[in-house]
Amino acid sequence: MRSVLVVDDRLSNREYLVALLGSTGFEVLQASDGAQALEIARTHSPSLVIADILMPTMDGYQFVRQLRRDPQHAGTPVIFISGQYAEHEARTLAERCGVSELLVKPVEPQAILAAIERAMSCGREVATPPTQAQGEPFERLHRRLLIDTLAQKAEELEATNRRLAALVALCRQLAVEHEAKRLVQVFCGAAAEIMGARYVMVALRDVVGSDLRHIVASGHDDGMVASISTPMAAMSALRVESSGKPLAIMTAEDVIAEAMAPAFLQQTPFVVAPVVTAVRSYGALFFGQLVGRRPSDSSDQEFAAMLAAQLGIAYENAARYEQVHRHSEDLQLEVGERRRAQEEARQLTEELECRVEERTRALEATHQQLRLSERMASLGTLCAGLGHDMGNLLLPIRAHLDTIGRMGPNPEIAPHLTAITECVGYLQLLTNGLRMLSYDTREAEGDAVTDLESWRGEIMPLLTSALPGGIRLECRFDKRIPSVRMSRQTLSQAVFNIVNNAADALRSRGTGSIVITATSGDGDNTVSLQIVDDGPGMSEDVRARVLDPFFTTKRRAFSTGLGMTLVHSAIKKVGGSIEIDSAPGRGTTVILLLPAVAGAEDSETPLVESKPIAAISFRDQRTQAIMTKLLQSMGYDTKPGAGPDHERAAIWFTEADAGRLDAARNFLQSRPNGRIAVAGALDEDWRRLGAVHLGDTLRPSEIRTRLREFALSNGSQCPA
Amino acid sequence: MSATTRILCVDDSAAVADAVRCLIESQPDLQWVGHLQTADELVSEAERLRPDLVLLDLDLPGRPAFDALAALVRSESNTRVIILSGFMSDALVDRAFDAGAWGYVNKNDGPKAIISAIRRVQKDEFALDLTAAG
Repeated sequence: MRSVLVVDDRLSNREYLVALLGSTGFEVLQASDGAQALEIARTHSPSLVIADILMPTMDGYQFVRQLRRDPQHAGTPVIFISGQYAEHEARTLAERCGVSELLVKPVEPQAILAAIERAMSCGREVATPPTQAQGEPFERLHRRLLIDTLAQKAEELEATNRRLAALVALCRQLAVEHEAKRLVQVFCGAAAEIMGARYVMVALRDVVGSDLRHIVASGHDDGMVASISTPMAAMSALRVESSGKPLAIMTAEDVIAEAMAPAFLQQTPFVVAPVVTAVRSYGALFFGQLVGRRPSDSSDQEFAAMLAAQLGIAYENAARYEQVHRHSEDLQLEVGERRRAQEEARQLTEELECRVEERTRALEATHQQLRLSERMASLGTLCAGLGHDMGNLLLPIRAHLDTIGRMGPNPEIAPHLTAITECVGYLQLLTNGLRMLSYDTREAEGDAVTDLESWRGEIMPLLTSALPGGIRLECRFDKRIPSVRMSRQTLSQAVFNIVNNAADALRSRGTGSIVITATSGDGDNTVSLQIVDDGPGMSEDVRARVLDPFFTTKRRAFSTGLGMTLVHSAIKKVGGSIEIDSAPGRGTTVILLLPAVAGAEDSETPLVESKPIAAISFRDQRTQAIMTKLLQSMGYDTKPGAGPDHERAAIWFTEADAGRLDAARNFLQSRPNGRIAVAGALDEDWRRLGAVHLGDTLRPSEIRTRLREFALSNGSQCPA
Repeated sequence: MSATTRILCVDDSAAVADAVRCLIESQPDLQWVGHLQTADELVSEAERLRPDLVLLDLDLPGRPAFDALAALVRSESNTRVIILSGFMSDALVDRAFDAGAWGYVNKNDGPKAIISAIRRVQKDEFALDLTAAG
């Protein structure tokens, strides 16, 4: 069987040839250097030898020269496969030692097979033994080749070292660069230098998604820079991305052959490498116009692949770093927000607790008030019955006392009668108090309004007469004080009670002063009525209990202990409040805060000074009497029998009767400021008069309600 | 009204009726015509006794006082009615207005207030102290 001896110091090279020759039917023998090869050749006499040139112990030339010296094997055909160093010299040496075939790496399998065929067909005759006479002596030539090869190797090594150093420096830079855009820029500059390319371009997609995110070019080819899709276009044209391996294009012909864009013509030789990591493919790395490249040099592709891999990892890391950074920022934001939310929640909780506490307090107060008002209600029922029965008893007692009084003076019974009358007076006082306690003031007060100026005119003489001598009473009211939403009677009772208490406090001293002031406050929504005395004042205990029912500091015979309770309940019922400021030695100030009637200050004419004259004409005698009573109580001057013809009548109260229309027209024509108030159903004629309507019926209660509404809407008690 | 004013009292309290009789009899122009403990027979008794004035209590057993008052007004009697009650409120005054009363007196205002009310009605005035009623 024919055999081939493969001689190479590299196992991978030998295996490659073993695999290739396995299909040709040769038995393949192997040797890792010249010495071993010589031994195998002598023992096995192979038909063909394929040998590397540069090998340890004994190189290819020495091996062939030794082989040629052995007459038995001198004719064995030899093929050299060699690296691309000093090819010309290598060929010369090969010829000198009778080797006609020299293949330069990298070498295609077909070229090897063709060379084998040629060598085999020539047979042993082809080999011509080396002769010393031809040209330069072989030894010198061989030495020079070795030296040259070494020098070239050293140079290559140095260049590779430089590249490696630059690569290491680049890797260091890439390792510390966290921003993807800057990273790509740094990479571009450094990679151009490492590769010796005039033009570098990087196109990278976003880490998530497929958008092109970074396109960075380095070099001075404006045309190429303008055509930014170049690396991607090249990659897709050359199907580099799908192969995952870099590809080198050496000549313009290749570009045309691959049907690439004309822009690439100027870029040859160029290398395109996919930027791929274990995770995904990011884009392309393009090195254009590689200076002084030989087509056989595969290191460019290796470097490009390495650089692309480094770029891919660095880019991915940077993107991840950016992601992590963003996440961390988001996280910090979230933490901040959560802290704020927690703080807010804490504040809300606090607020809520406060409100719950407040509400609880309010509830407790309401509950207490409820308990009190329950007590008061039962007390009210008791008082009502008691008051009624006592009234029913007191009326006869007083009537009989009057009768006895009319019987003429009787010195014997007179003192007893006086004593009984005094007792009855006190009982009546108590009964009135009981009646007031049982009295639903809300119902009684209705829409009652009291003009404080006119009230002052009425109450002052009464108060002054009730005070013992030596106690001075003074009244200081704000100008244009608003009216208060409270009946005259209730207000009088309240103030009377308070002034009486003040007077009682001053009585023991015999002198002192009581000052009543009225000021409008709280945006005219309330009137503050203050009753100030310079008496001995109250202790805290007394002050706290002064509003309690049946509490009194006076001798029981003079006090029911209900006065201040009544004042308090009356004031509360109209929506007002009462404050008591007092301390021993400092006197007492009672402040009544009363709801004021908005706009009341606009009524400029004091009612007391000039009462408007009202003419009243109702057919029904009783209705006429009721109207007269009501209008008098509202501050009108109701001249007895005054009709619409009364020359000073300012307003005519009448009923809607067709027979009175003419009189009504005349009334209005003769008085520029005259007004008509009319009760009953109105027809068109009455409507046209613009009269104040007192309701469709002549029912007195309805007329009374309308009169009150009318008085309120006019800001006074008087419709005029 | 004639020179003498005839007065009928409706009150479940004999003591009150007795006191009112004393009051009436103390006035020469007033004449006591009788006393009813309920208002049940007011319309027929008024027809029989022909009083000019009735002093009508509100808190009565049997027929409600306002009911009897309205019936009396419907009977087109010339008798006028003054409410004489231990209670007084705006609402009660309004009901008295609408039922046809000529006055409203609070028992607690004493004997003089009753006489004064009768005098007013005699003069065709409505007998009511509005400041007291609130």
